Amino acid sequence: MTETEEVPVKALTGRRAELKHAYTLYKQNPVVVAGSIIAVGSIVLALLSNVIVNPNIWQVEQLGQRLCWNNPTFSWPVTNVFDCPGATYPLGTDSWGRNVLQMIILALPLDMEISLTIVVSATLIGVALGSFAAYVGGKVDEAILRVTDIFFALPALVLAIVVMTILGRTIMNLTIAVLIPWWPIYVRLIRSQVLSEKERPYVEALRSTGASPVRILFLHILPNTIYPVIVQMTLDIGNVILTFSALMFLGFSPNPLLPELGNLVTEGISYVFTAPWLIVFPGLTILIVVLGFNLLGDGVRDVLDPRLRR
Amino acid sequence: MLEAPGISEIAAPVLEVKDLRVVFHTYAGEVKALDGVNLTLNRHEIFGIVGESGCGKSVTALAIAGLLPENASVSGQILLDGRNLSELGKEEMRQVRLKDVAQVFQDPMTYLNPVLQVGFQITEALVTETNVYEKQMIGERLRELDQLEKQGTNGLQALEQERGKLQNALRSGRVSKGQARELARDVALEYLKLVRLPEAERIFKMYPFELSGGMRQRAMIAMALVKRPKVLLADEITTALDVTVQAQILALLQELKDKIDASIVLITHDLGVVSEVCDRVAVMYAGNVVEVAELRELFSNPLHPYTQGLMAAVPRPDRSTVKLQSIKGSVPDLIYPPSGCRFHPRCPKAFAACSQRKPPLIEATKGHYVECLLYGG
Amino acid sequence: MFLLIFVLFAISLIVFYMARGALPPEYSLAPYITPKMTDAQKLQLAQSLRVATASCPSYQAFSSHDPQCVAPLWGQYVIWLGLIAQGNWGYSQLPGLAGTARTWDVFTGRFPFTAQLAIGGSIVTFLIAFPMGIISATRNNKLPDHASRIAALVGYSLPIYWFGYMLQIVFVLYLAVGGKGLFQGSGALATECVICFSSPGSINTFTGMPILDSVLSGNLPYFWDSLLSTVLPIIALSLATLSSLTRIVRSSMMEALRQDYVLLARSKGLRERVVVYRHALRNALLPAITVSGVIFSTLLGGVVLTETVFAYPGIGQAIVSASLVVDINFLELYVLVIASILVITNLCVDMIYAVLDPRIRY
Repeated sequence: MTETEEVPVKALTGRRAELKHAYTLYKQNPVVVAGSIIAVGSIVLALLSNVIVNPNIWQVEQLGQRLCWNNPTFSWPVTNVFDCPGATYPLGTDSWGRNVLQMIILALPLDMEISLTIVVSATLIGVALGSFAAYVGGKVDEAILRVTDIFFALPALVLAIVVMTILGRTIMNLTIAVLIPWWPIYVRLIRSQVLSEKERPYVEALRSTGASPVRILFLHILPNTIYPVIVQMTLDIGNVILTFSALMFLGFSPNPLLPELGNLVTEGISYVFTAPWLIVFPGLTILIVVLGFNLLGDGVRDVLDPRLRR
Repeated sequence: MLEAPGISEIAAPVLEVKDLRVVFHTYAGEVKALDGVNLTLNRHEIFGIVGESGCGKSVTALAIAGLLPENASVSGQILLDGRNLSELGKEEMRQVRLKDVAQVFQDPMTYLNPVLQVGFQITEALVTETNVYEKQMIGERLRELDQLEKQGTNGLQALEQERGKLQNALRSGRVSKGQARELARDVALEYLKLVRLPEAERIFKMYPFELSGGMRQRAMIAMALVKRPKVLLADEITTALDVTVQAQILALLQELKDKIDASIVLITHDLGVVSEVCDRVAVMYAGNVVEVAELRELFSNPLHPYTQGLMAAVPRPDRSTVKLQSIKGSVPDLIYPPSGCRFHPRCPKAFAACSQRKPPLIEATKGHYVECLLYGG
Repeated sequence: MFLLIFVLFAISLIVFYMARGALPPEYSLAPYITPKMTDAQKLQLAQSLRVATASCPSYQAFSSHDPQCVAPLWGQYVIWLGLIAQGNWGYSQLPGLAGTARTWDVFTGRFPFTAQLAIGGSIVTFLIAFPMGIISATRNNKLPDHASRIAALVGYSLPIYWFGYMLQIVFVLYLAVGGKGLFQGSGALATECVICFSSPGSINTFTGMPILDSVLSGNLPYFWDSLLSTVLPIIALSLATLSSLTRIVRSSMMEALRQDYVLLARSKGLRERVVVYRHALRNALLPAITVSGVIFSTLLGGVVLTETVFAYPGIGQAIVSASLVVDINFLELYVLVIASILVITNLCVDMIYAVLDPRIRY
């Protein structure tokens, strides 16, 4: 028992202190760090893709280079694999003679952009409808709940397929088609968060000072409910990519040449056993990107949740 | 050599805690929760442990029961009838919890499993571990049969049959599940009546949320007593209850003291509770037992400055003109505790030596122990 | 009950209006046309279905979208409701069938195959997720926990279709003996694989599900071959839901193990196994059960992808072709059936929840 004088405990209070502690926890968790590296890496790569690869190259067909593979370090034990004349193609070429690696890099920004659009829109709709329903309560709340029930009665992919059938194949329609099954999740999430915050004493205190409902909602309640929403958003970036790339895979893409990860897999369907790299690498990219965001989301949840449970 | 306080010349104490230290290894640091706790529990007494939140009362109880979490290191001796519990392995400690040590907790709403019936939870251990309890249960049922016979009830033949079956079971050492359930039910009903729960049969089948707070707490007490423990650790059992219900529970404890074999350790932060039912009291501060004495002695002659502070802090309606006293400062951080005597930063009578060495436990007057340099050491 | 009817009505109305509102009226007429109809007959049919107005002069006017032929949708809807109430969904527009097979027959013929996959997938999901989640929670932060967490995260991030192809590549291409793969990559009957029978014979149809029917017909080689053909699809299908459920079971078990009543159970001296299964699991099941409805929904969605990848003749594969040719009635039928299944599943989940949690019952 040889402790020296009492260490004066600095009172770290407020959001800043919590964030600092959160950062410490974050650094200690290797899984989260890995996830965030992947996620940030894919975003950076997406932003830089136009610099790395000529963005017009996906429309050019070079039939002389079809389905060949000449990666010097790795070869496929598949018969009749052609050798690519000319430059090295580290991930092979596809059925239009395009460099698969370049196609994947070009596909990243499209996927990320669509995914972010959907997630942010769903969150905004969720915040608007969900907080409105929770705060107003009563019949309005019931009605909104019933509407979300209807959307939950169908799997997301099925609903998206139906919408795509009706609307036709464009990128905008794809975005709408995936957004439609997605927003009810956010409405329910935000509604339940706001409902539990609404009952807290500080809300009653605010109401008694005469603050307007809108002010209470946006300035006070919503900032306290934001952490589960952020976790859900991070996880959903990956899930949304999975869903709309699945739609593209099924054949709903506007242009078979379009560099989008799911679409790239579609090309490879006829060549599963003869040119497997067409499927393996685009799919692997989806896996890595989604895994990155899932790891990040998980980690964010671990780091933020128990610390800041109010 | 530390002398364990309060050894009665008549009978050996049922529980002795010697120099118990507990450290929790956490992300934030090493929490030195208990810093050499010394206690003795005599038979048939109600022993109170009183102190502020965070002083280590619950940790002491959990250490005795062997229920500390994985990140805790324990050293010291915990002697139950001479047997050192701190040396036992997990399975042996579980056997101790099955038979000898029972615990009742603070909030019966969260401590009772919401999806299981109350009666089931009370008899659970009896039914699942029949080999431990069969003799006890059969013995009680046989005694009950004797009573019924003396009262001259009808159906003497059925009674004889049952007695025969039970004696067979006793001899062969095997009780069927159905028999065990019935026997356990009888035992449970008996204890439910003992804790003064009305309509014990109906309560048996109810779920925790259907009972009131006081009834739930009584059920928990019955659950603890059903195994006829040597030591009953009651950890803040009245804290979550209304004052009137609190009084009822305390009265119940008084009543039970004579009817059951167990010695009770009553842990609380409330001096009022202590003054109602306890025989002897220990005062804890920041992981140490600072004073132990008999109830009257402690209240009339508190020796340790902390105890004096506690007594002075109690509002006295008969002295309404005196200002409310409080102990200055606040509870220390147990990761970086003060050196020497842990109370010295807040002590009005502290002097230089207090920050340099920890005071040993000494017997100031007969049966009254203190850890304070003012009285020697 | 009312929920089911309300949801079905709402969905049928919404899809009807969206579909027929956005598409030209020929699509509404197409399912009821037989190949041999004359134009006059087609016009008459269109008018009786209220797809064309009574004052429409000719079929040509109708197909060139002459404004006097355009009829309001609500009339169509009412007639359409009457038709489907009698079970008349018209003729299927799927490629290769064009007006020869009834939509209802095509659907019911394919449905049992999808049921096989969905049921198999559910069984695998629940049978594996619960033990893994419990082990992960009880041996928290030790090797089995870390391993299963990482495996679950990867499984959860996989694109199902890609994984399906990967399975095919591995099991059919690489693990091949004598030119034949270990499992068959496609179809509902495996005859081209190392461990299957090449000509298993035939079976009588009782339920439409080959796995059950072959057992009922006593044809074991057929049973084996049908079973083999579901192995790879079910693995691909259930990996994502399995991973998701494992994580949920793990977190709800960990939450349950932290509860006060677990401490009390331990203080009674109960064995650890009893504490975990009787006390913690009973309470941890509740949040896990509420998720089952969502899990089943994801499974039904994933079936579409799985059937496409493995050329499995179920309704998932059919819906993709139906979307590409816009077979409206098939689409509606599919949507209504899936919605009913999910609503009924959710009702069952609610009932199970009430059984498990006495607080709900009172």
